[in-house]
Formats: sequence, C-alpha cells, structure tokens
Amino acid sequence: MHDPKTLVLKAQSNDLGAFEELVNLYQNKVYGLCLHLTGNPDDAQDLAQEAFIRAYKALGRFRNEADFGTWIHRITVNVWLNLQRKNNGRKPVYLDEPYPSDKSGGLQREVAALDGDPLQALEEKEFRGLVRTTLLGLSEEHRAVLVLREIEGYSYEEVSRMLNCSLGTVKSRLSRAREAMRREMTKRSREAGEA
Amino acid sequence: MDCRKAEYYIRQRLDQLLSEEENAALEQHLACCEACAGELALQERLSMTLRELGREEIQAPPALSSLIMNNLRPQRRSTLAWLPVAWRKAVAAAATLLLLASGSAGVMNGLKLAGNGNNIVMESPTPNVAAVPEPGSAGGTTAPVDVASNDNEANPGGSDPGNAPGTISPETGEADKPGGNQISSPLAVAQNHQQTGNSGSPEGDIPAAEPAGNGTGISAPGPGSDRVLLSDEMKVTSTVLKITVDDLTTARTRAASLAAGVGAATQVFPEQTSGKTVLVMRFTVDSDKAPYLTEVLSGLGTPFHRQDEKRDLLPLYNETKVQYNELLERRDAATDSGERRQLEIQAASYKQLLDAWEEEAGKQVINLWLENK
Repeated sequence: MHDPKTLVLKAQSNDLGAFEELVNLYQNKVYGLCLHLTGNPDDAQDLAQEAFIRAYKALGRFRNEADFGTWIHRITVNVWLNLQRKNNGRKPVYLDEPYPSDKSGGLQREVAALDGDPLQALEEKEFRGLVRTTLLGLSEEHRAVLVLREIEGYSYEEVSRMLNCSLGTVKSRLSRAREAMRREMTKRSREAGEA
Repeated sequence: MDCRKAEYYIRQRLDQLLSEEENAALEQHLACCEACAGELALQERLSMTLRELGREEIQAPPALSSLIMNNLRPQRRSTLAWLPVAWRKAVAAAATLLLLASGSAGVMNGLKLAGNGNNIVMESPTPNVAAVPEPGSAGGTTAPVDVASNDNEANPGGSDPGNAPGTISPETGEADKPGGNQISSPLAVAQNHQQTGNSGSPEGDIPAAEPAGNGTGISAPGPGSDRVLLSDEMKVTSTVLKITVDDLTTARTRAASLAAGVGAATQVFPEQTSGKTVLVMRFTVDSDKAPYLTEVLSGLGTPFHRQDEKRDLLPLYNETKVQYNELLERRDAATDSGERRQLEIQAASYKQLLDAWEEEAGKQVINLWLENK
C-alpha cells in the first residue's frame, strides 16, 4: 500500500486504482463525519459517496502538501451544508449575533434556572443520547462547527479554512452553538421529565 | 465577578482561552456560586461527550467503496470533466453540432466550425449559412469578428445554448453531463481516452461552444479525404484565466479587440447566470504571442485565478482519425440516403474535431473567464 501523498499523485494522473485506495483509506473517517452531520446511516452513505465523487472531480486542484483527509472532510462538510441549504430552500442563517431574546444575557436565565436542572441528573448513557439527538436539531451552521471542532477535533484555524469564514466567526459561532446546544438540551430534558 | 462575566469566562475556558489571572478570577467566583459551578461542569461534560463521540470507531458500510468506484467508472466514460480543456471544448462543440444536426434547422448550419479561425473544406455550402464579414486578418489567421455583434448568428441552429451538452454551471463550476447523442460520436472516442486527460478541475470546464461567427464552416468530407495518422506530438498549451470585471459587455468587446490585434481566433460561449454572470471566451493564438495576450487580457479586470496546462493530443487525435476513416468508408458503402446522411453528419463532427486539434497543435489556447463584480 502506498502512502496518501503518492496515491494522490497517482490519482491526479488518472490512476483510478490509486483513488480507490484513497477511498479505502479514508472512507471510515469520511463516513464518521457524515454520520455525525446527518444522523442516519443512509444519508451518511449518500453524503460520503457524493463527497468522494466531488473530491475525485476536484483532485486536480488539490495541493498535495495539504492533508488529504482534512481536504476531503472540508469537501464533505461543504457538500452537506450546500445540500441542507438547498433542501431547506433558504439562505443560510448564521446565528452568530446574539439571540434576539437574549438582551439580558443568554446564560443569565439559564444560570438562574440551574436549580434542579434536569441535565445534571442524567446518567451518562442518557446524557450521551441527548447530546446526539440535540446535535441533530441544531441549525446546520451550529452543527457543522460543533462537529468539526468538538467531535473531529480540528483547530479553530482549520475549521475557519474548512468553512471559509474568519477565525472570529468560528469562535463566536462555536460559542453560540454551545449555548444553543445547552439550551436545547435543557428544554428537551425538561420536556421528557414532564411527559 | 458577577454571573454574567462568569458566563463569558466559562465559554473561554472551554477553549483554553483564559489567562492565569482570568482563570483564577473565575475559580474564585465558582467557589461561591453553585449555579455557575454547575454550568461549567455541565459545559465540560457536554464537550467531553462530544469528544467521546469523535473517538468512537465508526466503520463505513462495506458497500461504500464499491458504490463510489462504480459511480466513478461510468462517469469517466460519460462526462467531459476529465478531458483537458482543449479537448472538452472541442468535444462539447461536436456534441452541440450533433444536437443541432438532429433538428430541422439543417445540418450544414450546425456545422460551422467552433471558432478555430480556419476555413475548412466546404463542398456544398448551404444557402442559408450567412456570410460573415471578416474585418481583417493578421498573421495569416482569420481574425475574429466583433463578437458582440454576432451572437445570434453564432447559434445557427436556434437551439438553446444553455441546454447544450457540456455547458458549465457557474453555480457549481461543473460541467453538465452531455446529452444522449454521444453514441458513435467523437465523444465516445474521447471518453475512451480519459486516461490521457487531466484530473478534471471543475474550474477548467468550458461551456458549450458558441462560435464567434468566424465565417468558417465544414461539410461532410468527400471520398479520398482520409487522413494520415500523425506520428509526431500534438502539444497544446492552454491557460485558464479568470478575472472579475465591472462590465461584461465592455470587457468582452475589449478582449475580442485585443485578440484580433495579435491575430488570435476568438470564440465566445453563452453567458451563464446564476448569482453572477459569467462569460467565457476562448482564444487560439500563436505561442509567441500568447504571453502578451494573456498579460493584456489580465488587465481587463481583476484576475483571481490562473491555470496553465500542456497536453499531447496525439493519442486522442489518432484514435479519432481511425474512427473518422471508418465512418467515411461506411458512408461510401451506404445505399440508403437517410443512413448516408447520418453518417455524413457524424463524419463532419469528427472532421471538425480533427481540424480543431490540428489548428491548435503548437499554439496556445487561452480560456478567458469573465465574471461580473
């Protein structure tokens, strides 16, 4: 088996076998990201397939000093974002500004309401399940930034390159995403408790 | 520190962005504020859980790899994306011609050469091919006409250029798949030679040809016009130059004028609008004049992309010639007039490709992408 850089070079020379090796090398990594973004195996498989096909088409533009895995993750997340926006029939909504209802400070009420916060009482397994379902309920921009930063472990700089936005935007979006996640988890947990 | 400031510090701490002093101040607050301490614990638990999700071993479905590769293999045979720019243009033009030819507008109208600046054998010119004025020539090459005034004529078959195969979507930057006329067309030949092409950068895709009305035309060749296989190289150098401009029409006219000044053949592709309006022009110019033309074209606006590539067209050329000669033999042997006509159409499109490649060999092709600011 060749190293990724050699495989990329060969694939760039139209060696389809080399590209197949790249697929085999990176399919778990790509599929994992797809699963975190889409939340279901069928959509994840479709997304992964589309991402690799896009990568194949754009291989000529890939500079081999970069990491192929990061590059294809970038393609994956952007394919997914575009698909979401297209399917939703709307322009992306960036929730980087303060929430309109948060004039008094977003966390203030949450902090005040922490007495008896149902989240704190959740067992590990329940908590993890809630994280998964809540993540899928977030806006695509928030989900993307949380998945890339927290789940995939990319640096702020890498996330900003992958999402084509500034470092400041990544930081503020991540902060908002955490806040939205936190708020939604509490809400869901309360609803579950009341049911 | 109040809870509001603590909220901000908690967020910063999650990303290890707090200084020692800030961290100490937060700790001091947390020691006496159960709510904020609980919030930090919750946020840290959330982050840790997300990271754990990332550490889970996720296996791709066993079928994924084969699905991808199965998708790519037919794609290599059915799209133009892997062809080098010059080939794609020529193949797209030929496919367009086949579409035009299948309509009622007349075959010969559709067989105007896609702008290589060369006059090709015209055995039986049709009366309704409008004569195109030639404002002058330079360097022995047919100079381009004023492209701005020849759009209508440039689409002689009256078909919607936007529907032509090989058109580009400015939104996606990718070529549409060609239509269904590829069978036994030069496309099929080209598709079987993908291995000599480049790695399909979407940026290099070129819309279907809209001939710039250079007054050239071809007809199906007559007997005895079999071509001899080349044994030498057919190197073509091409450049993709993308620039943003204030006004497309002005830039287009200016570009055509600059090209005419160095004797380049000009070809204009249909404008594509999706968010931004994009116009692609294609110039075939002698290699020694190409650097100058590239430089002056760059001055039309703000360049934001440039890509150069050099390709040897010989393998594709030779294979196409074999197919072409076979078509001629079949045409000569055909007794049915309808079949003969169809074979003539096919042969003409092959001939167009071969002529275009011959014309371009040793020259430089500049694909100019003009985009509205």
